[in-house]
Amino acid sequence: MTFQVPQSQNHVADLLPAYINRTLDGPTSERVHAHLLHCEACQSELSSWVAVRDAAQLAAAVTPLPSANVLNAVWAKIDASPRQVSIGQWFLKHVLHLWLVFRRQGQLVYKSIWIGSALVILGGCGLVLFSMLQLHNHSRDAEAALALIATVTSAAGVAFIYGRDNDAGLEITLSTPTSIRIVMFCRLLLVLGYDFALSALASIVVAVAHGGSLWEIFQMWLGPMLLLSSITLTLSLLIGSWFAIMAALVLEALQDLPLYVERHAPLLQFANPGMWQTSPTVLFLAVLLIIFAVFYAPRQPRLSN
Amino acid sequence: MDKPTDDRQLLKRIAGGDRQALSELYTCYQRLLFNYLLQLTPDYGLAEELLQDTLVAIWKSASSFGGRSSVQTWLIGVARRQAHNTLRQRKISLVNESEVEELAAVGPEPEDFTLASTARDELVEAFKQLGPVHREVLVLILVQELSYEETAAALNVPVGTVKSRLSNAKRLLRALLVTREGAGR
Repeated sequence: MTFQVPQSQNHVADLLPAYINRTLDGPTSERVHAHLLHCEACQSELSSWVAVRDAAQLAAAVTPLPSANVLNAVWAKIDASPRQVSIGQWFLKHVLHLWLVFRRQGQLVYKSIWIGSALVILGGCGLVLFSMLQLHNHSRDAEAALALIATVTSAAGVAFIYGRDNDAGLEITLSTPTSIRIVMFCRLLLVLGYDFALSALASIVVAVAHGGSLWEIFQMWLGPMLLLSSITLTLSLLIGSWFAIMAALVLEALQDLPLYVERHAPLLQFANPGMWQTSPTVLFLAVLLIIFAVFYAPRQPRLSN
Repeated sequence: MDKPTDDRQLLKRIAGGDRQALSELYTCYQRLLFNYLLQLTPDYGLAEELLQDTLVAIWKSASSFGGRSSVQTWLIGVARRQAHNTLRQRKISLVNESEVEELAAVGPEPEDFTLASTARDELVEAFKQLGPVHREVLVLILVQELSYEETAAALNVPVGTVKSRLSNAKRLLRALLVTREGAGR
């Protein structure tokens, strides 16, 4: 004869497995024990659970042991798995990865950026020297001209470093584990670094020929170069490369106009040319725009779709 | 000597890279772990592979043992995770679909039938026919003698699920035995 245990809180059916393996706490175990003394349904249920336990233990008892070479296989797997790396190794690994990504970008941006920048900046440097030596132009005009050339050249190059129209392999780049932000930032560093090196070389030549302060020449183009490049980068992502270049030219003209006016019409000083030089504000704005561009970069291809 | 404290010391030594400690832990728990894994797969070779992966995982993650559960519960939890990951990758289900249907069709227990009155061998055979999900909970509670809370922690399910799986396992055993008895008549 068997009994169905009613679904009632007074019965203890759901506690019986824990009762027979003695994992109930003292008071609960005593409550179950007291209930079992007068409940035939739960007594029958307990008998069933004891039978199931005996069967499960018997089945477990005849379970074979694993083979003797398990541990050897485990040591082989542990020795074959990559070891835990220290923070230094982790850092070195990531720096090396960044360096590899950085190096590869040189082949992926337009070759004309490298050739064009070198021709314009070094050619411009030659023209500036010529105007100083042959035409006896004012040295400040020559330096301003060099700054204009360096700034516009760099901004024009940066406008073409990223985007579906400028990178035939963008889809492949997007499918790699390397973040597109890192890729774009490496390209920016590469192009800006290249233009910086060219402009620095031109500045040294001008400073040597003219005998002026090298730092003053640097100051004339370093900040504007970074700011105008960051503006063109952002505009090229948001709207397009050619629009970015046009905007850069307009901005540069607006900034250089006061210089011209100051020189040729001193009464019309409607702007301060010192604003368009290397200053904390200019550098801060440039960094801000670069950060925006880097974080915005992954959205750019989707937007253009 | 206090066994649980010993086991915790073993895990600390393993976390420190002591291979001898892993060998000692394996000697203590090989039967328990292998028996548990064999509830999840009847394939002896696969169970042994899962046991190796479990030991590798213990070696790598011993430092993460926080002492909130017993060492035994933690080891079963590690074994379960390894098994589930591997079985999922190989598209081996732990849920027996026919068992689910059978569970829904289980009627009231016949008055002349009790599990207690069933021959032991028949009950063992019926136990072996249960699906992994039900066998594992029976083994953890009735063989390894874990509490409901420890079982719930090892299986990463609520205590209520442990209770319902136990109840379902017993109903299925009865259904299997009734079906067999009916076929034998």
